[in-house]
Amino acid sequence: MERQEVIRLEHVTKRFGDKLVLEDIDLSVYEGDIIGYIGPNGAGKSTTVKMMLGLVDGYEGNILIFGENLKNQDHTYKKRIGYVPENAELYDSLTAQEYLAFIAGLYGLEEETAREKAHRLMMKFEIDHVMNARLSSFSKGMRQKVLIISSLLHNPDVLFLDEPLSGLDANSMLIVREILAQLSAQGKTIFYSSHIMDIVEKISNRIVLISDGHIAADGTFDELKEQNQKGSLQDIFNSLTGFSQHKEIAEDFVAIVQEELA
Amino acid sequence: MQIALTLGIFIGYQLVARSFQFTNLDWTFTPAWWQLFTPPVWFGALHEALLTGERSLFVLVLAAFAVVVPVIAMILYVKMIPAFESSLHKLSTVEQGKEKRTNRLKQAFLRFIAPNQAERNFMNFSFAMMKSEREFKLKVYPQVGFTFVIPFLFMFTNIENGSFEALREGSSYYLFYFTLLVIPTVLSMVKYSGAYKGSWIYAAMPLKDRVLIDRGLTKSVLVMFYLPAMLILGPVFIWIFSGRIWLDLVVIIATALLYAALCTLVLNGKNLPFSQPFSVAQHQEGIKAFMMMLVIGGFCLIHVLFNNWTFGLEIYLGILLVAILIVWTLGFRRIRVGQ
Repeated sequence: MERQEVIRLEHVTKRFGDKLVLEDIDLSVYEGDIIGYIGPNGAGKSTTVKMMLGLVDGYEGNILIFGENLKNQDHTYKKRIGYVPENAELYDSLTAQEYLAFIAGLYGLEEETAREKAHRLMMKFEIDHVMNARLSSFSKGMRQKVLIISSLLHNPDVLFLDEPLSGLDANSMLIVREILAQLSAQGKTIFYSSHIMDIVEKISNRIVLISDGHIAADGTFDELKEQNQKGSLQDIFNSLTGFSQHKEIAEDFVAIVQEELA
Repeated sequence: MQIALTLGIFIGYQLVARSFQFTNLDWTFTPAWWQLFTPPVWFGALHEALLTGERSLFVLVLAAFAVVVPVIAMILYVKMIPAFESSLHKLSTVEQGKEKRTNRLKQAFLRFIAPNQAERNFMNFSFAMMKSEREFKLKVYPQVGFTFVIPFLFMFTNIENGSFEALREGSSYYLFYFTLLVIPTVLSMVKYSGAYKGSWIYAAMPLKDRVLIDRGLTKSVLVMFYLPAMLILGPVFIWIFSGRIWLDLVVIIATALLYAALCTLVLNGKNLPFSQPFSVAQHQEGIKAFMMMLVIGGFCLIHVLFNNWTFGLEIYLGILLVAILIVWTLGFRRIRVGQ
């Protein structure tokens, strides 16, 4: 079966003031892709995601989602997208139930359906007992679970995840990883950005590395290994971003920490 | 708790001021039973008892209060420290939360006033926010409570100068316009939130129509703050002024509907609800809200004018209804998502 193109970036360039964040990016994403989107801090990962969501505009080039240019799109394409943002900011004076009902409502789900679905999903994550507790009393991991649920309530075709596993315990991570794998097997597209290389290595079936506003690498983990003659994604990441002095920096740092106080 | 405290201070001021009757440029103190509940008077009485040697029973009782109550309060405080601590502890741990029963009647009512699903969703969201945001509650609830009391404070003043019968015959029912004050009070605060960063969802979600947000918000404010004012003060006013004022009340309520929409347009503009930090709340906002409060006076004046003619009120009500229709549909259309 021919896999359909879901997202396409054509010559996308983005500046913040004088600073060039992304330069002439071309990228095609197909259904069933789990893209691990990696790069150093400030390389433009979150910006890319936000542009595709329509949260950031003022770029050059074209972004096509589901074959249509974002510039002539209304908001309807967002119905088919789920998003877990980087900093788990949410209206935390609400209870989990109220928050999820609101999000589901924004996607046009009926109240009763949404309530029931949210409850069942929370049961699976073992957080249904705090359904009516305020989000402000939740731990980081519990908030993250709520966000993951909120991004999936409407059964989206494309998922944008920014550090989705942060704060989750090992078992929950395993569950989420499996969820992502199964979603992708059903033809959903997942765009996953993270700093944790081990996870990206295991989850993604395609890795895109961005550095200095350019795509420095694009391919499956095996392809990248072959091209770079390195054993792990961490090593590939270091070599492609031209970073090798982590030992020296660490030594200097520890030396400063251990300086005698006069 | 803090809200009760602030409200208590507001009303306390009024009561203390009323303990003294202002006659012939002389402040004379007239004892009354309710002064037993106003601490400032206790200390005044202590002063009176010790320094001027006043020894009437009432003053002595009050003076005794000034000594005894703080001591009792202190003992109570010490005794209750463990309870405070455990409450504090509860604040910082995960609470279970109570299962909220869905009220069918409420559901049906919401469905009636907001048939559109997206609009109703926003109403529910702003209900939940307005009920749970600490800072919002702290800033808004005391003032809302106060507006409930104002009409009666004025009426008491009137009674002091005349009789209750005179009040009933008179036109003090225009005081009902004071209930409108809750609307700008609340609407000038709804764009703020302690968790304003959560507002990314507005941009990430498929929002078809900005109008629905504003309408949902306005309706939720009306239901949550104005409806109780109507339900509680309305019957009281009817009781005081008899049924002759029913049409006037209808006119005032219609004015409230029109006025709420105007307030949303003027005070919120392009801001999305709960999307700004409280720290940017500016002085200018206060002035805007104050100007909107003056508008109430204008509405009241027009009402008085129309009341002079036969069928004046009916005509005015008609005009109001048309205006409501226009503002609630076309008016809201004019503000669209700016960015």
